Amino acid sequence: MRRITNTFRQPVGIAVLGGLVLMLILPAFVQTYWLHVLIIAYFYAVLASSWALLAGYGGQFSFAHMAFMAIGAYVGGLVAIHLNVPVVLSVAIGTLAAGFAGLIIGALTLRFKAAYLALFTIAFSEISRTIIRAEAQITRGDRGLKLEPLFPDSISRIPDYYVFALLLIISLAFMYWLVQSRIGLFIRAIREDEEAAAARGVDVVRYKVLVFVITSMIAGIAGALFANYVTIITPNIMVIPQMGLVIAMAIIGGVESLIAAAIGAILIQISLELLREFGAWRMVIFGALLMVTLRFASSGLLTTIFNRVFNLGPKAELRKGTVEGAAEDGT
Amino acid sequence: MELKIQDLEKRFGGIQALKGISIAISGNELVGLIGPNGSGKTTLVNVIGGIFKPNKGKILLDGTNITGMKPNKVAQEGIGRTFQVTRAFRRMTVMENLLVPGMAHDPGRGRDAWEERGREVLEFLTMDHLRNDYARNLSGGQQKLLELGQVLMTDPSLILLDEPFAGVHPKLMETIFDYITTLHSQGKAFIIVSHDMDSIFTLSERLIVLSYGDIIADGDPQVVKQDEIVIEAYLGEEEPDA
Repeated sequence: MRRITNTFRQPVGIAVLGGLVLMLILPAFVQTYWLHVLIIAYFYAVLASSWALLAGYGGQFSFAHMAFMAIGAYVGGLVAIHLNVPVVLSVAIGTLAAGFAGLIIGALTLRFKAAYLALFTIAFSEISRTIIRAEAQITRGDRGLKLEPLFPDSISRIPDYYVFALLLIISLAFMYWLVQSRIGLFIRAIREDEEAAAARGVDVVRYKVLVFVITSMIAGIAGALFANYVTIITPNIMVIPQMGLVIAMAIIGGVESLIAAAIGAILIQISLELLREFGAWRMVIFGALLMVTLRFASSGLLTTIFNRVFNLGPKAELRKGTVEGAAEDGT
Repeated sequence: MELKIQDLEKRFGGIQALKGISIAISGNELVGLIGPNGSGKTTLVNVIGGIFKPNKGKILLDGTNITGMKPNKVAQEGIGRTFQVTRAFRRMTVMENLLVPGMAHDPGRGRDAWEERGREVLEFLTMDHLRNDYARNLSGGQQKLLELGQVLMTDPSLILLDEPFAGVHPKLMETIFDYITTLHSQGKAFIIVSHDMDSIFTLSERLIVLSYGDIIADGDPQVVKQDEIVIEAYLGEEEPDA
């Protein structure tokens, strides 16, 4: 509680509160089309921030995040169609299925170093996509699986907007709590050095798999809700360029900051929409932005800006440490 | 504290790194472990610490069989260790580095209590002013002290130090030397691997010498120093006259 109170005393706390208020009042000021854009942006923000938790905090550079999202979407959708269960239950089952898939993949890739994990998860993604396309009698293949909308009786997108806004807020709050807890401490230690973390008493297997399961479930719930929002889901949602988009959003935002990754995703999605008239050139601009980020702001473009605006980051920590140390020394 | 190592063997492919080693350490003994490069010192530390599983033999700590236990379980049993090349968590602050072993050891004690313990450890190591610094910004010697601090967080009964004096400024070497002496007087047992002969001969109560995975001497440092087999292992045999 003390830590949370301190956070909200600081400018960063005020900025977060301002952002929350803005999210909640936006539907009163924007047209339906832009509500749709924001819903898609929030969907990507959930995916980018949960991928940031897995890769930035956990050090597990996975390309299977969109596959877990699709597992949530397809399992939820198939359960809803074949068992005729309400959307809430189908979304819950889709989320659990994504978590189970995350458990299997997390356990299988435990000992993998970065490059091998990336290759394994690319293979898993492509196999999953191929199975979905091949089993057309179950999944309807490339024709897509048609689903009931989240709010069948509503002609407005506002209820859908609030579902995705809440999903983003709740998932960010949960992940923030997680990284502040001992679990966050352990997964960062594992990212730094697995063997050393184990020697300090950390159960490496448990926490590596746990972070995989949690992030897969977050991707799964986003996928299941998204499928019901767009009312059709196709294997194209999990192609590798889609995964690349999520990774790029997280990297441009800041892969070691959940909020920066989420804001990065929202800004990029909105920018891509604003630049639509540029056609293929908007992807060139986006690619160039990614390259600039990797070269000049490896901790993320937004993270770098936030650190300067809010006086955060390693240099600020150093200054704080020196000042506090000097104060206690009486110097 | 009682550590019993019985007939311990470790092979890497065709290379036998440990050849049936047996050692017993009790109370708060301060044991030096020396030997030429490749003699099996670090392998022995890694087998005790759970990083390598032995091919044969047993390790008992206070009667509990810890052979082949995972490193986190070994740490929970009360063995702390440092590494030959410092492995502090570089992108975490000094305090976070200390919280990791604490919270892993007993999460029920709560973060605030472990932070308090962290402050105590940092005060002992005269590093409290660095608690908010990132480990990557510390000097090599400070990182060695931080690793020692991580070990001290959970108050282990046995501490394994792998090359604590390597690459350290002479002044800091003295400081580390003093910390070890103080902790030893407080009842901690040590196994110290070192190439720094002056320090290890002065510090150790007992010296074990390894060569090609075998124990070639075990006893009082002053006696071991004169042992012909040890001298030969370090200096090599004289070439026969042509």
